[in-house]
Parts: sequence; C-alpha cells; structure tokens
Amino acid sequence: MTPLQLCARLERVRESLRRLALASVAVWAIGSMALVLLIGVLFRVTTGQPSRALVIASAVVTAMIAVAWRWRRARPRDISRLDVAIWVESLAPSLQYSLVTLAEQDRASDADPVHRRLAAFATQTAWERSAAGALRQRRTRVLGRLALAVALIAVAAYPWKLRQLGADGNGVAALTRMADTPPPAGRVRASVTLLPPRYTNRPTRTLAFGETVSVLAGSVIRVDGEGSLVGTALLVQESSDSGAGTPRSVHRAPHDDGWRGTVRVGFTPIALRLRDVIGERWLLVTPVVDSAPVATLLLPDADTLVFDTTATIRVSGIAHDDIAVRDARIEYIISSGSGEQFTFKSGALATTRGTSSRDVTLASTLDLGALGLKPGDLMHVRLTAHDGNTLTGPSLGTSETRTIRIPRTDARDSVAVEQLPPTPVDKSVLSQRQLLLLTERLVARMPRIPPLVVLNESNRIGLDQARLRKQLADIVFARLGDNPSGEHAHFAGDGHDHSAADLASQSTPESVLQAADRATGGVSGMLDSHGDETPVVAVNRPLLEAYNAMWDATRALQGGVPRDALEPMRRALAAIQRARSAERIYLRGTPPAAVVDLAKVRLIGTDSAAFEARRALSALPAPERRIAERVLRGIALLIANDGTARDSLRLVRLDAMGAAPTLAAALGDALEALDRDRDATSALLRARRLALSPWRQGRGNALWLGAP
Amino acid sequence: MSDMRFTFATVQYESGDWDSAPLLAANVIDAVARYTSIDVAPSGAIVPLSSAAMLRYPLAFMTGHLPVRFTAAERAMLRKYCDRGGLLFVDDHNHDIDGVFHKTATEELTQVLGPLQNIATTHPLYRSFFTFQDGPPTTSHELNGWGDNLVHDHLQGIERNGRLAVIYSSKDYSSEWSFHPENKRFLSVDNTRFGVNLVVYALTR
Repeated sequence: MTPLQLCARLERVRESLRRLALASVAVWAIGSMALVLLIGVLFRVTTGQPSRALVIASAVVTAMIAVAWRWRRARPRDISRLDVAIWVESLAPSLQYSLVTLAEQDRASDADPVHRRLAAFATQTAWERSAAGALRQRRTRVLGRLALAVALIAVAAYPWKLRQLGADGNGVAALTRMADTPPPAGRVRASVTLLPPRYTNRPTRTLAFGETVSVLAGSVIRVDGEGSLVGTALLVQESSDSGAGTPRSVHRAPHDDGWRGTVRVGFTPIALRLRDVIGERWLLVTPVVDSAPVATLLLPDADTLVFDTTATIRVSGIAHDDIAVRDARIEYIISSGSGEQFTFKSGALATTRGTSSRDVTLASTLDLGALGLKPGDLMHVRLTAHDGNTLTGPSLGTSETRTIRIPRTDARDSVAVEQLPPTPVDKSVLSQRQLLLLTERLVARMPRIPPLVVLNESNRIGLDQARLRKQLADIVFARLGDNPSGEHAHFAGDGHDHSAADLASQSTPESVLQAADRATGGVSGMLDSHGDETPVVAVNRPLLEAYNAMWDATRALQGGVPRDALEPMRRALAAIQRARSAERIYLRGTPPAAVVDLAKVRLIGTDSAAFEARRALSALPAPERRIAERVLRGIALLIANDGTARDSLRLVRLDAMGAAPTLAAALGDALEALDRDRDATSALLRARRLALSPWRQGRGNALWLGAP
Repeated sequence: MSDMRFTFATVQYESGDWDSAPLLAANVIDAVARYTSIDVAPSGAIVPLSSAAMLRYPLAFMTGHLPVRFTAAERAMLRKYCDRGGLLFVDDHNHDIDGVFHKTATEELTQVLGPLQNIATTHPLYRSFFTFQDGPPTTSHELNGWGDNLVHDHLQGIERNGRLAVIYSSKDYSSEWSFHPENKRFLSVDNTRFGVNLVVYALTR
C-alpha cells in the first residue's frame, strides 16, 4: 500500500469518527431534553406545577447545554488526520508510530523513500481491523444512547395516555398537541380554553375535544373556532338526575378570523358538542363544587371547667380549604347570668385575612382575667373560616364549639334542682280551624252521601265542637273576677270549700250577668247560658264572641244541618284570631294544683294493707261444750279405766262425726292408737284442742290450732 | 268558715302573670306539714284579688314578672284584706329593682296601703318558727348574677295595727321555691323553711 493510499484510508476513518461525534452530540441533546420533559411532566401531573412553557423551555435549554458540552468535548470539526493516526496507534501499538509519523507529513508522497518505508511498515500491521472494531463499538454506544432517549420520550408520553383516560394532566396537552396530526378536510379547527373562576387565581388551561374533565363550578369554557360560522354548530347539553336534557345552541360571535363561543359551567355535568360536516366532537365536563372550609379547633380539646378566673388558656386550630382560606379567626362568646337574664360579650382572637393559602393555622391565648370573667360565666370558643368564593359564597366553615365554664365557688357542694316539666296540654281537642275544614268538607260531600251519614258525621263534628267550647269556657272562666260558680271546679280536700254562708251570699245569675255586662263593655247580647251551665262572664270580648258562635255552630251540627254551622264557625275562628292578636291575653287557664301527700310528709304511715283483727275465743255454745266436756272426761278416764274410757270416746266420736268430722277423725286416730297399744298422746292432744275450739263455725281458725 | 285548715292562697290579679310560680304553693304546704302540726290543706287555692273570698285566707301569696296594675275592685279588696288582718306576701319574680314588676307593684302597694319600709332583721317574722339570725334567707337566684345582681339584706313591709300586713320581697322566692316538693330530698338544707315562718306569723299575729 502506497503512502497516498494509506492516507486515504486514514481520511475515511476520520470521516467516520466525525460523523459518530456529531451523532453523539445529537443523541445527548435529545436524551437530556427527553429527561427534563419527563421530569417536568411528572411534576405537572402530580402538583400542577411548573407551567407548560417552563417545562419546554427547560428542556430546550438543557438540550442546548448538552450540545455545547458534548460539542466542546467531542470537537467533531477538529478531528485531524493526526488525531486519527494517534487513535489508531493506541488501538494497534505494533505500528510503532509509523502511521503517526506518516500522518505528520504535510504532503505524503509515493516518491519519498521514507514515506514508502513507513507505509510498508504500517501495511504489515492489521490496524484497519482494529480501527473498524473500535468504530463499531462507538456506533453501538451511540445507538444505545439513542434508544435510551427514545425510551425517555416514551415514558414522558405515558402521562398523556393517562389524561386520555380521564386523569388530570395539564401540561401534557402541549406535548400531545405538538404531535397532533392535521385535521382531515372539512373538519373545523377549534381550540378549547378553560377559564377558572377569578377568585381561584388559577391559570387558564387548554382542553381538547374528546376529553372528560372535571372543572370548578363557575368556570367558563371558551371555544375558539377557525373559519366561518356556517356549517358548524356548538351545542351544550346538560345532564340531570332524570337524564340528559335537550341540546341547546351556544351563542357564538365572530372573533378574529373565526368565531368564539363561551359556556359557563354550572352545577350539573354538561356535554359540549362541536358539529361540522365531518361529524361531532364531544367534550364532557363534570363540575366540582367549591367546598366550604374545614375548621378544626385543636385546643382546648374538650369542654372544661376553670376555677381560676385569672388563668390563661391556649387556643389553637387549623382551617383548610380546597382553593384557599380567605380569612379565619377564633371567636368567643361570654355569657353571664342564667334563667331569664343574660348578658353577652363576644370577640375574636388570632384573626387572619387575605390569605391565599389552603391551610391556615391559628393560635392564641385566652386571658380570662383580661376578659373579665367571673364565677358563673360561660365562654364558648370556636374557629371560623371563610373561603374566597365570590360566586356562591363565601362559604363558612366552623369548628366544634368548646365551652369553658367558670363555676361558682359553691358549685361543688350544691345540687341544682330543676322543676318538673309543665303539665302537657290536652292535644286531643280539634282546633276550630280543623272543625271548620271538616264541616266544609262534609257540606261539599252532602249531595253524594245519604242523609243518615250526613247526620252522623254532623253529630260527630258537633260533639268535637262542644268539647272545644268547653275548653274555651275553662279559659274564659279562669279569667273570671269574683264568680266562684260555673266551671270553677273543686275537688275533695283542696282546701277551697265554700261555706254555706258563702254560697248563700253568692251573686244571683242576674247580678252575674250585670257584672259581665260591665266587664265586657255592654255586650250583654253575647252572653249566653245553657242547661246547667252558668252564664259566661268573660272579660275578653273576642273570646266571648267565639264562645257564643260555637254554641250556634254546635246546635246546627247536632241538628244535622252542617251548612248552617259554617257561618258561626267562621265567626268563632275570626274571634279567636282577634283574641290571639290582642295586646295582652293569657290563655293559660288555671294552673294544675299540686296536691301534697300530707301523711307521707309527716311520716304517719302509709301501709294500707288490710288485715283481720284477732278476736278472743268466745264461750262455746251448749252442745259443743257438752261434747268438749265428754272428750275431756274420756281422756281423764283413760288413766283409771282404760276400757270404759275407750267406750266413752267411741260414743263421743259417733256424736261428732256429723257436726265435727275433724274432731271425729282426731278421736278415731287416738282410739286406733289405743287399740293397737301405741302412743296416742298427739292424737288425744289434737282431739282436745279441736274440742275446745269453735269448730261449729267452720272458720279457718281451726288451722291455727293445729287441726289438719 | 267551715274548714279551719290553713290553705295557702295564690293571688290572681287581672294584670300580669300571677301564675308564674305554679309549684310554690305545694312546696310551702310541704314545709308546713313537714315541720309543724298545723292542720294544712294538701293543695293551695287560687283566689282573685278582687274577690271577697280573699278574706278566707290569712296568708296570700302574690308574684309575677309583668307590670302590675290593680283594678279599682282589686285595690278596694286589698285594702279591706289588710285592714281585716290578712297578710299579703308579694315576691318579685324578676328580683330586679329596675324591673317592671318591682316598679309597678311597689307603686300600687304604696298607693293603696302606704310606703314600704325595711323589715328589721330582728323582726319576730324571722323567729316565728325557725330562727334566721341574719334576716331573710338569701336565694341562689339573687346570688347568681341574675336580675339586679344584688343581695337584698331586708324584706320590706307595710304594717297595720302593729302587725305586718304586706311583706314585699325582691329576693325571688318564687323561683327558689317553685320546684316539686319531691325534689327536696336532694337538698342538704331545706330552702323553704322561711315559708313556715311566713305561715306561722300570719296565723299567730
């Protein structure tokens, strides 16, 4: 191989090395850019930051830095023939610098004998094979790096795929859009922009048809289309619980070279449909409602008692909102007093305003002394927070309320005694309005139902009307002046009995009527009496009118003419309404009387169990006495003359068998024992006891005496 | 009178809420029965102030929260009642000397019977049965910051013929004693004992 041929071979190797260096620079640039894009996309997917432009810019800058660094290191344009020779010499040391020496010559010549000897020496060495192997290795390394860069791009594209499935992926849209293929002919180009509510301070976002996105309620979706309005339609279709509604057209206006339409997202899912000659594209939008802040009071963690009015109490809490907490504060209310009279004092601690953070922490200290708390006071503490929602809010979030009680000094050794609950009101009585409605309904049904049914139902309503009238009478009489008659009820032992003299001095019905006339301002025409009821004397004219009207209604209803009852019933209802709206009217009636069990209070015995008094034994009547004497004599004779005694007792037994079978049985036992020579003591004792008892009466007293 | 038993009477007057302490009567009756041998009716009576029936009751109790305006008949009967030996015990359910009941009731009583005077703590009223060395017993309701936030050292009264005809209280015994007598067992000291003094005083003077 001549020197010139050898140099040509070196030039080819040089060219290969230069191309590999350039490829390496490009691969490094692509790989570093893909790596930065991947990192940026992952950040945007997870946190929504940084912005798309920043990610792209970072990738480009990184790529430029990689190119610069790699160019500076590889210097592809600076690779000389000498560099190639040195590289080859490092691969094939057996060249012994012959190739380097030849390459150093500015002009190699076949005529130069030194050059020919160098070429001949280099030709003897298989350096070309070593160089080809090294070049293959470099090429493989570059291809590997290129494969790695492609893999990074594939990984970076994966979140875009997630977004296609519905996940959030704001920043990936730019990547996908770059890869968008041109639309087919006739398809309208349109861009969709999401404008979140202004109070959220969130950036606008680009959407694409075919997506399903979740956006804040109140956001605006703007569609910018290219070309003419003709041949296209933008429709919005709302979804509700009952299904999808009818699509309605979105107003579009010419804008720049195309058109623009906007849709505000409400609280129901919508489908945005863009129709052109090719077909329809859909964008499904699901609204997300801005939630109210969540406030949590951390300290104090429970209601508490504080005996020291100069103590300090730490209070703290946190507030969280899905957008931002606009303001938060710890509120307190101090209430003093109880029962009927209270004074209140309120204030706030640790107030923060104008924050844009999603989490706010508040902490402060309550100085009870500075707040002027005193024993018996109650302090209620809670945390409140507002968000910045200007569309449907601001929404308020409140924490649980903690109560700090300052007990009285004697609170620990006293017992609160509560009253018993009030007597329940009789709710079984139908109101006048209900009775009127029933009557009106009955009148309306009258043409369709038999007269007997009308009469029965009318009577039933009449009874209820009478009950209500009596209730009203109780109220009216309860307001009576000095008239203890009528429905002024008494019961045994109430301590309110009227003496005979007192009863005699009671007013006559005429005088009562006159008193009522005076009390009601001369409305004696409204006074009424019926049967055994005393005249109604009311100091309240509307109630008296109602009472009288109820009488008329009752008569009509019980007469089976409900139509005639309507007018007085309406009068009664109107009168009751007037009484209700009077300036001062108390319809409590007589409070229930509490009756004290005096015997129980005085501890004089409460055992009411009945018992039978013991009575002394009375003298026996003559026949019984004779039998008893015979029994006693027979028993006494047993010692002296056993046989005679037995015979005597047998006769007594015979006489007793009809009138006193138990005695006869006892004597029989005793005689049997005597006949068999056994101990007859117990049987004889029993017989004697029975003989002395009043057995003839047949009372259970015999059991006391041991009789079987 | 056919019935010689003592009956605790609650005054019913036209204005105001005369029935604001419905359980007080039972509580006083319980105390009288518990500590004395006085023949007492087991339940109280409600008597209109304008009624002649007032004269059957030696002690009448009057309370309320709202303004008191006596009618002419009520004024006449009140005057007659006091002149004939009755004792009217008036208690301010608001226990507030700036309250409407206090202002109007004292005004009415002064107009009918003359000015109210403080009753000395050495008055026989406080020794008629139980001994109250410091005068009228305080109530938890005047100690807890309600009403006028004052502890009233004295009751006030109007005398007729050397005896008290009207006793006026700003201490709110109406609230203090208006609980069911069965609940007395929860109290270490019966707070209705002063009611016995009122009854005994009314019956013996």
